Amino acid sequence: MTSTPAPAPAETPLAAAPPIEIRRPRPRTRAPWWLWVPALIALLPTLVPFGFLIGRVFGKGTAATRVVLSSRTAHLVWNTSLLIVLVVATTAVVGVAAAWLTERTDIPGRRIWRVVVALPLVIPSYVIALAILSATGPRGLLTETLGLGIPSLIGLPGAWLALTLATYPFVYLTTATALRRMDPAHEEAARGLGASQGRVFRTIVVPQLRPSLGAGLLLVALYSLSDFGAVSLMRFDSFTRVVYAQYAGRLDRTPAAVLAVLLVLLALVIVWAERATRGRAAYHWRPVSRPARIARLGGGGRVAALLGLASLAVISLGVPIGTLIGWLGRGTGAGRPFPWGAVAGSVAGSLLAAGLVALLALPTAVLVTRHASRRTAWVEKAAYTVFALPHITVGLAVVFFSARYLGSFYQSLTVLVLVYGSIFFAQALGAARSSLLQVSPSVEEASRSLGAGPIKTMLRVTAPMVRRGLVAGGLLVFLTTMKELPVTLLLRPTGFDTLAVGIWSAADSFLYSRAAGPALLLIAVSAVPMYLLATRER
Amino acid sequence: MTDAIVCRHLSKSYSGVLALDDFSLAAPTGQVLGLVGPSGSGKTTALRLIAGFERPDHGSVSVAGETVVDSATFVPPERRRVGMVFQDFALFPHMTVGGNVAYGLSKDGGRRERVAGALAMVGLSGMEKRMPHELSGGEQQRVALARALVPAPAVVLLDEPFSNLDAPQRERVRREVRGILVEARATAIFVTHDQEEALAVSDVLAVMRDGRVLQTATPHDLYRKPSDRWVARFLGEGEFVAGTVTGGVVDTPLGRFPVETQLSGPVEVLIRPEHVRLTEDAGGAALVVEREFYGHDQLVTLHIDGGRRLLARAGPDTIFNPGDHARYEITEVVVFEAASHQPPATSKSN
Repeated sequence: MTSTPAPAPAETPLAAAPPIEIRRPRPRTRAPWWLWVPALIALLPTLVPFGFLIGRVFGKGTAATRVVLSSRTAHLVWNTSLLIVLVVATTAVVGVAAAWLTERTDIPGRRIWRVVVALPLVIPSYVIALAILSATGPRGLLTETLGLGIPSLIGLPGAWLALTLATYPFVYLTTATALRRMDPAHEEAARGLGASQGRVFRTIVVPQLRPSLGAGLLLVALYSLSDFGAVSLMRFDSFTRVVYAQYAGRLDRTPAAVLAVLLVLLALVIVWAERATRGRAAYHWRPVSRPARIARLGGGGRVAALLGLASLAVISLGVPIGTLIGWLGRGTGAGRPFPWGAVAGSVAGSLLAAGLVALLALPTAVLVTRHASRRTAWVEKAAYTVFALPHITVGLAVVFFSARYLGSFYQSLTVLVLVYGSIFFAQALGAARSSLLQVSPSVEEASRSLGAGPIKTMLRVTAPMVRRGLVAGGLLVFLTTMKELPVTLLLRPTGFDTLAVGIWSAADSFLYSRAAGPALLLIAVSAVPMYLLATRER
Repeated sequence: MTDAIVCRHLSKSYSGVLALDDFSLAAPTGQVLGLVGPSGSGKTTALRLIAGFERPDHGSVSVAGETVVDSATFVPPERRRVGMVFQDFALFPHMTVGGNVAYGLSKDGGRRERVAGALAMVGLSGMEKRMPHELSGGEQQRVALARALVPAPAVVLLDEPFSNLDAPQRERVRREVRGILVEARATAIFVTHDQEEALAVSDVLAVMRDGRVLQTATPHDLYRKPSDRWVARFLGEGEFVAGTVTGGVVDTPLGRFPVETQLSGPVEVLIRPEHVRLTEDAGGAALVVEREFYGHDQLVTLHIDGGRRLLARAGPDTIFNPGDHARYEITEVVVFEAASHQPPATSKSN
């Protein structure tokens, strides 16, 4: 028979063909042993030192108990909890309101607002803190230029504001996604059953929003708990700042170790609290073909909504960036050369970490999807646990461990990059895993049955098909490594500088004009991968 | 004739559930063997064990006389010389059609010619540069077949190869694929849950149920002489009545019929609708209660003897409407051992 160059009209292309019948889950085969090696390389650099740290704390017995039971620790727990509660409450309100406005109302310029509202994600907390510090107070830029007598926000108010601005995008993004994916049929069904608009919102929309809102707020709480940059610059005694001070300033390192472990316990309490408040309903995302109903704002409502979003943008983006630009040309740091060494350090460290992680993520994603078992599920759990560990704890654990066992390796670039890779591994693994899940395993089996071994199959078939996921994961790791502060501070080799460390130490010594340039550069560099990630998603 | 594939006593269970239970099968060289059974009967598991994607708990498989798996051996899939065509075709989306077909060939000379030859065989000459997503479902199917056939495997396995195509093209692709396999003189095992497809495509057909092969025979023999009631019901419609065999004749409430059987005494008798001849007759003994018209024929449900059900297949020309009376004549019957332990199965499993 002869070939038809163009598909005959009767033949539908595969995309339009009826979906493959869903079968019972494909039975998994056991993974070859070598597939575990990359996962171990990725996870052990933090898990082993962390285990060592815990062992050390428990080994100290009474000394550790004394630290835990001291009134100072109680004060720390109070301070930290207060900060978390304040930030969680504020971000919940700001994030949900912004999400509702940009997803469910006819506010003008919705598309632009969606980007603007999420944008503060590229500004690290310590840069926001630096901007707040250098804008307010008697010597602040706002006071000097505009004559606004804003009191200095150092301490709790400053930490609260900085963390709120740094984290509300988490709530905004999770909530906005949920609002967008919500099936309008539910709301229509409720309306059809006679429910008023208000009742629909209360009984249909809000409950469906809860899982996403919970996830967003969980991120906010964990971030606030483990953030070091903002609280230290704000001189607010929350856990991370005190852990660092104990480590840096004392010969006896037991208190630092104990507090670092206690910090992890607090994180567990937060995760547990979120689990406990979760409902029992299961929510399934289905592809939604129709957009949700859009609420019409009246004239007054429209003005109020625009004013609200605009002031959010001014406070979260305009003031920080404006302040930094304002400090650029000023006094103290003017004649100094730009810290190119720090730029090189940042880029080199982040590139190495991103490359390492992307390399390890592919085989590990194959392990956890194609050979899924109870044991491989632990790999994923471990990756996410490591990702959630407060960085100050990881940094301290590695310092203690490597000082004890690694000798000259201690504070080497190798250790630093391995630890970077480890703490951010989950990001790349998640991206690689989700793109691998979209690839039918039969494609890999086809390669095997055509004579290609497992490694050739991974390189020639799997890797090209999940390339986008790997690149996206790598970009994400690059971005987060650029902004990383506490681990870098604790583990960097002598002479190795990064933008993050430069900004933090200048700001910590009130040398705002010296911090401003690197801070702006860091924002700009972070914005690039963010932009790529955002455009890729379309 | 040798057997390209021999499976002996394979068993495999997943978390305690037995998917294959003492599964034995021989696929004769150069023929198309169909493996048919309802979903969950273990057909796909059998293919995956033959291909080497999974290991059996017990039993052995040999390919072209060479043992590829038993308790001491495990040859990985890439060294089994077993080609596979997947339900979703599993074309490499990032490679051209030519790249897909060439994937299983070694890099030495003649690769291009072999790819071109394989594409010509499946009727896709000159399509080397196309990407898989630019092809229709049927064309993708043929690329998958060419890709599996070109390394000259000892056997090609096809897993529900037609289920991913929509109805109008399914029958045509089915014929094409059968033609290609016959022309390539390939040994093939194909899996389906569709009885009609199984009967139409196979040279030899194995019926599976609950992880076992119940009967292996040519489609014709299987249909005419099913080994048990379940196989009979699975492969086609019909009604059962009780009967007694004495000296080559079975005595039933519907009459006496000659049969070829070793059985004697009480039996069960299957009457296929094809073997019930129906004639228009207002005074006939059968009452039409239901009729499904298919175009090429019609399936008529009758009540006879005051309520006994009987199915008849009639040509399309005379239409039998519910309420009509008709005359029926039974031309042939199949007998089984009585008191089968298996409950009557529901037929179609689509």
